[in-house]
Amino acid sequence: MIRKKILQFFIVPLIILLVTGCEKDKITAPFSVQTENNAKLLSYLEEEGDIINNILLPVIQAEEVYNNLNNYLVIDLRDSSDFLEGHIEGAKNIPNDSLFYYIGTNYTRFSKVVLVSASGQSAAYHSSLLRIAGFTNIYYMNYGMASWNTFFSSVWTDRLTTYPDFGIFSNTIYPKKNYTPLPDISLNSPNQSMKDLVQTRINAFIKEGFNEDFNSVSSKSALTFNNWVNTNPQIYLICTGPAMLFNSNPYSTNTYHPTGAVLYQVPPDLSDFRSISYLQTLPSDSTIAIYSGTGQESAFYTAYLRLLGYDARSILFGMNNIDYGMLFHSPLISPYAFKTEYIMNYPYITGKSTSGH
Amino acid sequence: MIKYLFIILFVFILVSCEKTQIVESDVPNQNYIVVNGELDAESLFRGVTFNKTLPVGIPYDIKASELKDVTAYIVINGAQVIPLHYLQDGVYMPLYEFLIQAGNTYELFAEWEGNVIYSITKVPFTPEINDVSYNAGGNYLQANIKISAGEVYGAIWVIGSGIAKASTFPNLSIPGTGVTTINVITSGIPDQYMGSNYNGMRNIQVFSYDRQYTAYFNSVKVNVPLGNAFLQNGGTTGWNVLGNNVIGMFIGVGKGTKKNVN
Repeated sequence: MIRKKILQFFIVPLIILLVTGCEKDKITAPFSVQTENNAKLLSYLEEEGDIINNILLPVIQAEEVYNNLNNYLVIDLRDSSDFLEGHIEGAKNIPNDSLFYYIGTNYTRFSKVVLVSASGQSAAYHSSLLRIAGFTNIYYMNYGMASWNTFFSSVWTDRLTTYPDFGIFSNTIYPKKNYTPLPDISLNSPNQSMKDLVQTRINAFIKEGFNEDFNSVSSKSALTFNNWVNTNPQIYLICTGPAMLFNSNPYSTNTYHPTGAVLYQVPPDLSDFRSISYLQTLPSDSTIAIYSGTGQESAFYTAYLRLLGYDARSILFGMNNIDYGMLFHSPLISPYAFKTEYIMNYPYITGKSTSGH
Repeated sequence: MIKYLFIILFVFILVSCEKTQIVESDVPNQNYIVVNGELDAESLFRGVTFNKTLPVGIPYDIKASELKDVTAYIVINGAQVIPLHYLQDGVYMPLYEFLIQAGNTYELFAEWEGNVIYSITKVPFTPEINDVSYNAGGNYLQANIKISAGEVYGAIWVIGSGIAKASTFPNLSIPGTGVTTINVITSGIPDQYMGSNYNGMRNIQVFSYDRQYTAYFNSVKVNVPLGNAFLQNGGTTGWNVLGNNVIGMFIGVGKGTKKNVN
């Protein structure tokens, strides 16, 4: 009986002492919070100047290129077969696979590096990625080779669609969506610096190219465009402005834009893609279909959003292909309508010869 | 049998803590990361500071103390990410100004040399005063305010537009369940400000805090003997920033406007 009491009074406290006696003092309880790759990527891009939200579109006219052929590096992004059919004198035909490396080793030798594509949209897309990568003298040539010579202009003139029925347009102001988390992204190689990780990611996007498999979508016509948007609830249609493009209506005083479209303004007006602004009202689980005046502006912003992990798609040729007539007849936004007067008919080179045409 | 069992247990107790390291220095020298962020409702965000404590004997120098390479960002309401960037003196700011909004939840995520730092706070609403009064017995000011969930309140007296003011609250008013209003009091007003020449100049200002502030407030005001030079007032301070060897506060506050009591 006495032994049992001894056991109760001494052994039990000793066991408790054994279990708890050697615990280290902790200043806080352990926790399992991790920082997120997508936030770190956004942070890095801001650290590097938040380029996309702070610069005007790096667009350059064919006339300036023509007048500076000896000073500018012109890089032709088209397929080699298109290049051989005709290209700007002195232009380098660089495939996507080596574009990042080529720019990196050559861009300091020229005051401007001008990317040229067939319509200007691919060049705008790549100029965005290269600007983000830190190449500050990258530009894209407005309307691409179509503005250089009539020989190349069908890529634009074939896409100028006028839709006679205005039923696809609306004057409703659709609200932006609620804020949602940034898209998940994977940044491999944890031992790499954020700079290296971002450059690797940018290079991968450049190699992917600008095409309808990944980052663009053809509106084909206003009718198919309208059907496409309205029959697919996963599409979030936005316009990257300017506001007058979103609102202009040559036929009435009401605002006028495709049904369901939401305006996201970009420099110089505002910058709705800033972290403190409306960036994260873009739904990360939807396709972000972006339209603009010519498709070049939307391609530029599509690149940035894709880099952040959004499934962004630029609507090819923008309003020119959705309703060219509306664009053409609205005085404020008529400059976005492709016109034959934009075709400069400058000489070009065919094959590998140096003879001009 | 029991005798042997005791002997074995005592021996085990004596040797089981053998791994405890003996600090050779007379003064403990554990460096801490110090985080400080105050989020004022309806005001522009003023940033978060990241510093580290310095070893004893080294004169304080902000250049030695500040952390310049912290990766930090804020998440608003569990979604919107706002990166923070080093500015100067350990201060990290967003690239663009933004307004702190009452009712929103703000999470702080940071990483420095592999250490993850985290905190969360809900920004309270600016206190809404129903009524104010002067308590002659205690010589203090009192306000009756509407309450919002998850908030605690404190008040200070303010003479004129800044002639003098109380440096702290006498206590925090913590609403119980089922109440819609609560009284908040200031500390006693010094006699020198009770003369007639200060009539019309005695004001009360009420502050609202995220309820987490209670642990911090209570821990720093308890006047217990110093046991550890690195812990304020000898007790464990109720910090709300988490991380290994991280101390600090990241807290939402609502600053009411001054209300005249005379």
